[in-house]
Amino acid sequence: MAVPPLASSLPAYVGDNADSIAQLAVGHVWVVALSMAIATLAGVLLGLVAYRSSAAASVVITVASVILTLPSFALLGVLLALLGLGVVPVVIALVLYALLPIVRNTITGLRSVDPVVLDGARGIGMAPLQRLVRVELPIAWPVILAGIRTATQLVVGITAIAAYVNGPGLGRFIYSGLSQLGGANATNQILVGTFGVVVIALVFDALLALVGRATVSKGIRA
Amino acid sequence: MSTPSTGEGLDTSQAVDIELEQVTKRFPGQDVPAVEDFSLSIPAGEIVVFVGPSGCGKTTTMRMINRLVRPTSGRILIGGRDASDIPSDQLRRRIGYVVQQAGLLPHLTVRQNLETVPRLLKWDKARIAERSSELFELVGLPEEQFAQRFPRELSGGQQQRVGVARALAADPPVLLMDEPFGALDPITRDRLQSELVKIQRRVRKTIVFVTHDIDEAIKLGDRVVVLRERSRIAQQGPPDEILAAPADRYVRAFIGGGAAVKRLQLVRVEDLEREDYPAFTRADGYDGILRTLRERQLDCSILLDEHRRPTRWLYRDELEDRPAHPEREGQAISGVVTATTTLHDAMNEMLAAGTGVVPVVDDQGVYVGAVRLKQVLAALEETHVTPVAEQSEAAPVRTIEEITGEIDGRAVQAAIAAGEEEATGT
Repeated sequence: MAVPPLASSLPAYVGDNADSIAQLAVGHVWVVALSMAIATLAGVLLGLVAYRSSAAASVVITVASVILTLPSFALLGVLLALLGLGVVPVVIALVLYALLPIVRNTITGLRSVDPVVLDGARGIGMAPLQRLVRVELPIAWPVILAGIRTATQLVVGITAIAAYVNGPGLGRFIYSGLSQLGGANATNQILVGTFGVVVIALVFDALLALVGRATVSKGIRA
Repeated sequence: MSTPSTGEGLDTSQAVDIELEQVTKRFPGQDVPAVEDFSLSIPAGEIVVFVGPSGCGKTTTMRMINRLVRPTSGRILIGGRDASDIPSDQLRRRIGYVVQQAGLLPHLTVRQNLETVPRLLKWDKARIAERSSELFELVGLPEEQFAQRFPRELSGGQQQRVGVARALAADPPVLLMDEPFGALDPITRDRLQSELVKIQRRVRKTIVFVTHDIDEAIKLGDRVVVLRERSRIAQQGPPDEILAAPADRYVRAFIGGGAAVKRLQLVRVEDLEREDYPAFTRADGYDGILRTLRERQLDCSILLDEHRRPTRWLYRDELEDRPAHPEREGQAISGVVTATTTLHDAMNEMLAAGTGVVPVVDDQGVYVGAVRLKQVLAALEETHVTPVAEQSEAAPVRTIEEITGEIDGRAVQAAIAAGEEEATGT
């Protein structure tokens, strides 16, 4: 009769595997940060292109909302089937996913700027680009930032799923644990993966909240 | 009475005249033009009020002056220059613009709002800072108290003061005002109207003011232009002329009843002899106050604070009862008037206070005298002396009781609104 392998306690497991946990956590953060940087830039630009036309705006918002209701696992599967495995396809998939809330909120934010304020800005002689940079974007910024926060939460979670298809990140612990369920340390692996993802999500959200405090004018803060 | 002139730099830009020549605006997809063949000369340094029912095209007409709306045909000359020769944004930086809800930039502080146009014009820092201080002083907002606040932290009246200051920031020769006081409660509106007159005496801009309120037009306009649909001019001229001799049925109907009372809008507190009405400070003591009231057979008087600003009404009958704390007796003074307040508004304040007297203060809020209801009624009699034939047809002359009764209702509403303004204010 085989002796079941000795399971170590969670603290001991973390201690023994600190290196690989740190490595995967850094990989997770890095993928999220990279995807979000690209998605923010692209999302705000797309929003800027679309927001003036109400037809374009409503098409974009509808499409984004529909895609956001699809289960991320299914969508990821479809994307990877098209793009192949590895880090680059994972980043592309994450960017596409993160775009949706950012584009949606950029358009919503820009379109909700009070027309009286815009008329005033025009009436005192602000050129179109000055109105955009000094009036519309700063007023829409809290809404855009909320979109970025939503997208970040989504992406942190989806990155965990991406480990299943060879992406980097703490998802590896979860899958490895799930595949050895009942085995020694399976529970520890799942716990480390899950808590790690939660901690990363909370840290990102806290950072973005700080960005909000630093960049949203007190005159429009909710 | 003149205001202290602390801002020499305010008068650098000479007011210019504006000439609208056969201006027409046709919006795409509409059969009827919004403005049809509109011609008008606006003399430099005057307040010209466009007044007419909503939808008559008065705002569109005004917005063509700073090219927020492009005329379909016709010419607009500002100081002799064709406005269409000047790039729109450049033109707008030289024309002050005030809209109904002030249109302030909500994410910027009051100071940043005031500095927007000077920054667009690339003034240097020192000049911008100096100008901002002048503007705070001009519109009666203490700089240290308001500079760092955001628009949403201000009451409607304060926001509109900032709106006016912002429009004046770059000292433009022309000011366009689109129903700027329309969303304010009656008391605040009256005060800002009086203040606009005071400011205009200092800055002497060419002001085009749009309103649907004939009373406001009469009160503010050096010249009133009554418009009908498609912005066609029904009558134009000085306000007393329009009141005295409405050109036709349309104008008469638009003026409405109570033309005599409306003429009280044309007389200001400074036009009356100010009564030597007793006011006291606590230092005068109780017996002194009571003695004076008995001697002069007055029922009430005014208590001043240490800066000689009116604070409370004191009633003789209450003082006769020798209260322990005379300074807590009576009633807080809710309204004061200044030299540029019209008699119409002064009367409102009196009726709201219920005393038949209203204290007059200078720019610092210091008591300088009082106006009494009987003086207003005397002025009303005088304006009656020059009735015009049509006037009796337009508005049957009424008894004083009828007229004051009508105003009383408004005054009560206004007093309620003023209380709310105070609650939402600082």
